[in-house]
Amino acid sequence: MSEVTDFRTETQVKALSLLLGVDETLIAPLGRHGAEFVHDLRLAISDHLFDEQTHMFDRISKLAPLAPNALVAKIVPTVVTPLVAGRASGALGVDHQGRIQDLLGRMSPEYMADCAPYLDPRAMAEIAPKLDASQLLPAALILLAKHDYVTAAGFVEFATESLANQLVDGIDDYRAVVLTGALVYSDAALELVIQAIPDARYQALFNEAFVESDVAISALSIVSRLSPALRDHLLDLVAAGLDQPAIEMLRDLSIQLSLDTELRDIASKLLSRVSLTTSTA
Amino acid sequence: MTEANLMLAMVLKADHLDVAQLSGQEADELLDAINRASTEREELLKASIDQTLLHLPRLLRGPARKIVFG
Repeated sequence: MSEVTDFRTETQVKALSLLLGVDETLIAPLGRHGAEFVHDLRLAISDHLFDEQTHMFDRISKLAPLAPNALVAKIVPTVVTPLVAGRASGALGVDHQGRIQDLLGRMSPEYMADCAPYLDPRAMAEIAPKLDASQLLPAALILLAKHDYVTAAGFVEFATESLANQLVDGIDDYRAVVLTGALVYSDAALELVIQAIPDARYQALFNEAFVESDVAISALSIVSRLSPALRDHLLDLVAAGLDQPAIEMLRDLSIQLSLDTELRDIASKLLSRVSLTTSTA
Repeated sequence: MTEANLMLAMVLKADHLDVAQLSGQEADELLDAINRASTEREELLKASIDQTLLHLPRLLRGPARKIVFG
C-alpha cells in the first residue's frame, strides 16, 4: 500500500489516529484514499462513538433544568472530570442552548480548555457560533499553550467572521496560529481566519513560521489552500519583508523532493517574488 | 465489497462515505480499532462518572448512578 502523499491528508490521518487512539503509522496507508475520504471517515467514526453514549448523556441532560447555572458553574469544575463534562456538554449545549453562553461565562478558562478535547464536533458546530471571543479567547490561549492544535482547529471550523477577527486580534503566538490553521479542514474557514489577520502582521507571522521546517511546511500548506486573490495578496506582502533566515528556509524547502509538488511550487513562487522585490529595490 | 466493508458501512451509517473503496483488510482493521476505541471510551467514561459521583453524599450515589447508567 502506498504511503500518505500530501500534507493535508497527513493531518487528517493524524487526527483519525488521535480519535482511535492508535499509532499514526498503523493507519497511514489509509492516506491513499485522500484527505476528503479520511476526513469524512473520521467524522463518521466520531459520530458513531458519541452516538453510542447518547443514552447516558440524554439522561444527564434531563437533570439539567434542576440546577441553576450559578450552582452548576460552582460545583461542576470541582467534582466533574473534564472528560465527563466535555462529553456531556455536547448534549447539554444542544438541548439547553439558552444557557450555554451564560454557563461558559462562569467557567474558568482552564476548565474550559481541559474539557474542549472531549467535545463532540457536532456540538462544536452548535456552540462555537454562539460564543464571543471574550468567552473563548482565554481558553483558546491555554489550548495553544498546551500545543493542542487539533482541538483548537476544531473550533475554528465553525468560527463566524466576527469570532475569527476577535481571536486573531487576541493571539500573538504566530507559530500556534500557523500550526492550528494547517489543521483546519474547511478551506472557507481557513480563508476566514487568514483574511482576519491584518496586513501588517503577515510578514512577522511568516518570518516566525520559516524558522522550523514543520511550521514552514504548515504555512506553505495554508497558502496553497487560499483563494487565488488572497494568496497573491499575501505572497506579495510577505515577499517584501522576509528576513534572511526565512529566505534560506524557503530555498531549502523549494528543492526538498519529499515535499508535495504543490507546496514546493508555493515556495518557489514566494522566492521569485522575493527576488523581484530585491531587484526592484 | 467484503463482509468487513458491509459491516463497517452498517456501523458508521454514513451514506456519503464510500466504504467500498477500502480493502477488506482495511475495513476489518478499522472495525477492530473502532471497537477498541468504543470499549476504552465507555470504560473511561464510566470510571470518570464514578469518580464524579464519589463527591455526592453516600445515600445519593446509588440513585444518581441509576439515573445516569439506567
